[in-house]
Amino acid sequence: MYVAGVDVGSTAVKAVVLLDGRIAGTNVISTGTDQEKTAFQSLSAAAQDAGVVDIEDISAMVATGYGRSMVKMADRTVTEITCHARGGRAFAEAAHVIVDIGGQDSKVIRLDEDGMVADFVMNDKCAAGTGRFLEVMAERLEVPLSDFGKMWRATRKPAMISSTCTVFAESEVVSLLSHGVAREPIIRGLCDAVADRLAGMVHRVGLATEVVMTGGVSRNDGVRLSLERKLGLKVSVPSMSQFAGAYGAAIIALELAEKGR
Amino acid sequence: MLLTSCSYIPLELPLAAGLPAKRLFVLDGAEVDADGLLPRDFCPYARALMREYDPGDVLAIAGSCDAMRRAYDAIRYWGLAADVFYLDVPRTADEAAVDYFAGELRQMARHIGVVGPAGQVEEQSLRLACEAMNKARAAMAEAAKSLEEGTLRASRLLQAIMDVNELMGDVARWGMTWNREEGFGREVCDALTRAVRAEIEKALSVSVQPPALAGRVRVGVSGTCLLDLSVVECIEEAGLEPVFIDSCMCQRVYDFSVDVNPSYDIYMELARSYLSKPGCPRMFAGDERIARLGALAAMYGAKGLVYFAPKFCDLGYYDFPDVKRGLRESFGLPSLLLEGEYGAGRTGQVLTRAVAFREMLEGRGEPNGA
Amino acid sequence: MGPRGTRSVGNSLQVRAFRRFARKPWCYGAAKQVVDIMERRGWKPYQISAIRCVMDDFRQAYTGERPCIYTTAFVPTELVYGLGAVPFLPEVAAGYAAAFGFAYDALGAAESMWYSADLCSFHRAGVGAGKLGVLPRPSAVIATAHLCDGGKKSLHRMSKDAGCPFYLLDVPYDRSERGQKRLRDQVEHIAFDLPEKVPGISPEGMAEAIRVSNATLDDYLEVCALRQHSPSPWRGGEALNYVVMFLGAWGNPWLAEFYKDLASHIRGIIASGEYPCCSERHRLLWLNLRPYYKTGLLDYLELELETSVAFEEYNWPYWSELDPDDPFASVARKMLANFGWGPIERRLAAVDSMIDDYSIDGVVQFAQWGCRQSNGGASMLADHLKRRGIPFLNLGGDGVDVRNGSEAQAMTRLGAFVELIDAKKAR
Repeated sequence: MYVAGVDVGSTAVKAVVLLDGRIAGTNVISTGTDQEKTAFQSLSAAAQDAGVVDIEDISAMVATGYGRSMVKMADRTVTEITCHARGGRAFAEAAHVIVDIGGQDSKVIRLDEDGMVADFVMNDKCAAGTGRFLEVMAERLEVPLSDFGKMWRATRKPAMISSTCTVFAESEVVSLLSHGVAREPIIRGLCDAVADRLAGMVHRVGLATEVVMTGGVSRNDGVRLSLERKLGLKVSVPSMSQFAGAYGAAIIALELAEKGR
Repeated sequence: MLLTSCSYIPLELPLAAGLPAKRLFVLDGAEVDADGLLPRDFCPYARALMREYDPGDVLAIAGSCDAMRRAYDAIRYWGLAADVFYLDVPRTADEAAVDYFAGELRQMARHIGVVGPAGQVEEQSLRLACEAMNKARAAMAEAAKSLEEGTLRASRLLQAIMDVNELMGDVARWGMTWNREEGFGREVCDALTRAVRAEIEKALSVSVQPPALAGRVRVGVSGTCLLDLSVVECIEEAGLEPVFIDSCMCQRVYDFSVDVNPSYDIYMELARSYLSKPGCPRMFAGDERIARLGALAAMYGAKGLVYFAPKFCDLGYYDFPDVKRGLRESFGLPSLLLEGEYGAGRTGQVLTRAVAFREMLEGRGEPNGA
Repeated sequence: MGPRGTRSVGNSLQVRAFRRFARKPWCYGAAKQVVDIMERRGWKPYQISAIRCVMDDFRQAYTGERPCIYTTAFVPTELVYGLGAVPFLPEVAAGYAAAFGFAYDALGAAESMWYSADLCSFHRAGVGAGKLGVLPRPSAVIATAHLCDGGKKSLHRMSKDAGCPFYLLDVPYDRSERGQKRLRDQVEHIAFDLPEKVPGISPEGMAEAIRVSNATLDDYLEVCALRQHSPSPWRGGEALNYVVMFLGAWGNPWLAEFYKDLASHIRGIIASGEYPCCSERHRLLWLNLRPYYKTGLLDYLELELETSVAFEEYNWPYWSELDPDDPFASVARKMLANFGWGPIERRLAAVDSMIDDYSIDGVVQFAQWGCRQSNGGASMLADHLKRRGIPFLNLGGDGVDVRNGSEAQAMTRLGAFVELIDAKKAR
C-alpha cells in the first residue's frame, strides 16, 4: 500500500511516498508561486521515484507545512509541529527533543515517552535565526551555505555576532569585514548566534539527552556544531532530516489508510 | 456618553449621573494610526485608543498598567478628547485598598456629576444602576453556561457581550424615553434589564445546535485583553472549543455582583466588588488566579489553556510563565501562548500554533469534549 | 538542571565562579585587599568609596550577615536600611551581569522560564539571575506599583521562588493628602509587619536612616552644583555607571563618603582645568540608562564627538529634605515626588529644570527596549522639546541585552545628532 506525505515549506516542497510503511520515494523542489501545483509536482516525482504507476494508487495523503491548506488533494492536513515530531521520532527512535529550522521559522518540540508532542515553541514571525537569516548572511559573505560547517571547523575563535535580527546582524557582519575579520570566525559567530536562540527555545520546553535536528538548516553543519556546544550534548541529524516533516505526514497518512481499511 | 478603557471602571457611576456609558472595545484597532503618538513597540489596545473622540464624550482611563498610563497622557497631551478622567485603581483588594478606591470612585462621581445631565450622583440612582448592572452581568453569566452545554460557541458569547456593551451606550434601544436629568430611576433600571436580556436571548437563538462540542477538544482561554474576536475564532477554527474565557472582554466583565443592601455604603460595595472580581494579571493576589483557572478547567473539563497576550503587553508576558508553571505543576494542564496584535487570529502562524496544540492535546490520549 | 552531562542554562565560567564564591566570607576579605591595592595604585578616592560601599552591601547580603531585602530602584532604600536590612536590586544586578559579561546567561535562564524577549532586559535578566542562583537569598521583597510594571512583576515572581514575604507599595497616582496617607500607612505596615516575619528586622533605625539620607543629600547637591560647570567636569558616561549608587544606597553612610570624595574630585578637575572633554562642543542631557555591556558608544560621543553628557535624568535629586521624626511619611513623600510618576507633565517639567540648570544643548533618550513607561512618553517629550527649540534624539537600544541594538547604527545616529546641533548653533 502506498501512502504519501507532502511538506509545503516556505523555501522547498518535500514529498515522501511510503510503500508498506517504508520510504520508497522522495522528492524536494523549490516552492514556487503556485504552491498547489508545486506540491503536485513534488508528489508526482516522489511517486515516480517510488515506482507508483498511477497517482490514484496512493491510498492516503497528508499535507503539512505552512502551505498545507493549498494542497487540495490531501486527505488531511496536519501541522508541521506534529509531523516533525512523528518524522523525527521515526528517524531517531530515542529522540526526545526535535529542533526544526526551516526557511522562515524555527521550532523546538518536546516529545513524551510515547513519542507524542508534550510541548512546543515556535520562534517569532521575523526571520531571526532561521534559514532565511543564514541565506542572507551567506550571500553577504559570498560563501555557499554548504561550506559553513567546513569554515566553522577552520577556526576556534568565533567573532562576536550579538544579534539574530537579519538587519542588525548584517550590519555587524559588514562592520567585522571592514575591520579585516576573516570569514571563518564570522561564520562561526553567526552559527553561535543562531544556536544561542535555539538553545533558549530548547530549555523552554525542557532539555533531554537525545536532541535531533530536522529541516533544511540541519544540513548546515555549523549550526549543529554550535548547538552541540551550547547544549553540551550531541545533536544528531538523520541522513534524510530535510524530509522529517513529509515523512511524519506520510506516517500519519499510513495510519489513516489503515484505519480506513 | 462616557467611554471607559478598562473593566475596573464601574459603568454604574455614569449611568447614575444620567450618562449612557460603555467600555471602549476598539475592535477595529488595526485601522487606527497611532504612529507619532505612541511607540510602535507598545500595547496595541493603548495605540488603538489614539483617535479623535466626539466633543461630547467623556473618557475614563484606568491606571491599569504603564501603557494605559501613557495612553492617558497622550490622549490629553494631543487633545484627542475634550474630557479625560483618570481613575486610580489599586492593585490589591484589602480593606485599605477598598477604602481608597471608594474615595477615587467618589471623586469620579463628582467629576461626572459636573458633566452628567442628572447633576451630582444620587445614592438611590447609583444603587439602581448597580442593580441594573448586576442583572446585566447575571444575564451574561447565564448565557455563558451554554458554553458548557455546547449550545453556544465562545465567539458568539463574545459577540453577545460586545453587543450588550454597545446597547449600554445606545439609549434609543432601551425601549423607553429616559429623562436623564432625573438620574437612574426604577423604570430605567427595568427597561435596561429587559433590553439586555433581549439582546442575550437574540444571541442564544442563533446559536449552534448541540452537541457542538462533539469531537472537539475543550480548552480554557485566558490572558490580558483579547483585542478583538479573531483569536477566539481562530481557536475554534483550529478544532478547539473554549469553555471559559478569562478575559476583560468576557468573564471578568460579568462574573461578579455589587451588594446593593441599603445598610452598606454603596461606594465601598462598588469598590470591593470591582477590586475582588476575577482578577486581571495587573492585580497582586498571590496564586489566586492560577487556582481559579485550574478550578475552572476542572469544572468545565478543559484539557488545556490557550493564553493570549497582546504584543508588548508586559503584564501578560509576566503572567504567562506563572500560569504555565502553576497549571502544569498543580493541575497537570498544558498551556499554549499566543501573542499578536489586532487580527492576530487571522494570521497563519497563530492558527498553526492553535492547531498544533489541538493535535498535541489529542495525542495525549485524553477523551475529547465532554 | 538538564539531564546528566548536558549544559544547563547559564553555565558559563563566570556564573559558576560567582555561584561558588559569592557566599564565602573569605572572598570579601580577599576583595578588600585587592581594593586596598587599587587605592595604593592611584585609583581615585570616589571610585574606591563606591567599590567599598557596594562590596560592603554585597558581603552582608550574600553571607547573610544582615537580612537581604530585594527591592527596585524606585523604592527609597532608606526604608530598607532603616529596618536594619541590606537592599538588593535585581535590576542593578542585571547591569553588573552585562558589565561582567554574563548577562547572556541570565537572559537565557529567563527565556527558558518563558519570559518574552520583548520585556525590559533589566528585569528579565534579574529573574534569570535568580534562577541561576547567583543572587543573595532574599528575606523579603518590597516592590512598588509606580513607574514600572516589569519591576513589580519580576520581583513578585522572585519572592514566590524564594518563598519569602512580598510587599507591594501601591503608590497612589496623585499627591493628595489622601494619597500620601494611603502610602504612608503601607510603609508603616511593612515596618511593623516585617519584624514579625523576619528575624533581625526592626523599625528602630528608620529615623537614623532618614538623617543619614538628609546629610548625604547635602553632599550630593554639591556634586550636582559642580556638574553645572562648563566644560563638564565629570563624564556622563561614568556618571551613568555610578547611577547604581544613586538608585540603591540612600540611607547608607557610605554614600555620603562617595559623594564627598566625588565633589572633591570634581573641584580638583575644575581647579586644574583638566576636563575630560576640554573642547566641549555641546552639552547633552541623557534620559534613561545606558548600555552596561562593553560598548564604545559613550566614548565615541564624549571623546570623539567632543559632546559631553552634562547630566542624566536618573541622577536627578527630585526630593527635598525628609523628616526623621516621621520616617514613614518621609518615605511616602519621596516616592510620590518621583517625576516619572503621575502625569507626563511632571517629567517634562523635570527635564526643563535639568536643561536650564545644566545649560543643555540637546537631549538624548536612551530608549531602553521594553521600557514602556519611559518610551511611552517619547512623542510628547519630542514635541515639548521641539517647542523649546531643544534638539532631541530617541536612541533605541538595550542596556543589558546586546542583541536588541546595533552599535554601528547608534553611533551613526549620535553623529548625525551632533551635526544637527552644530548646524543649529551655526544659524
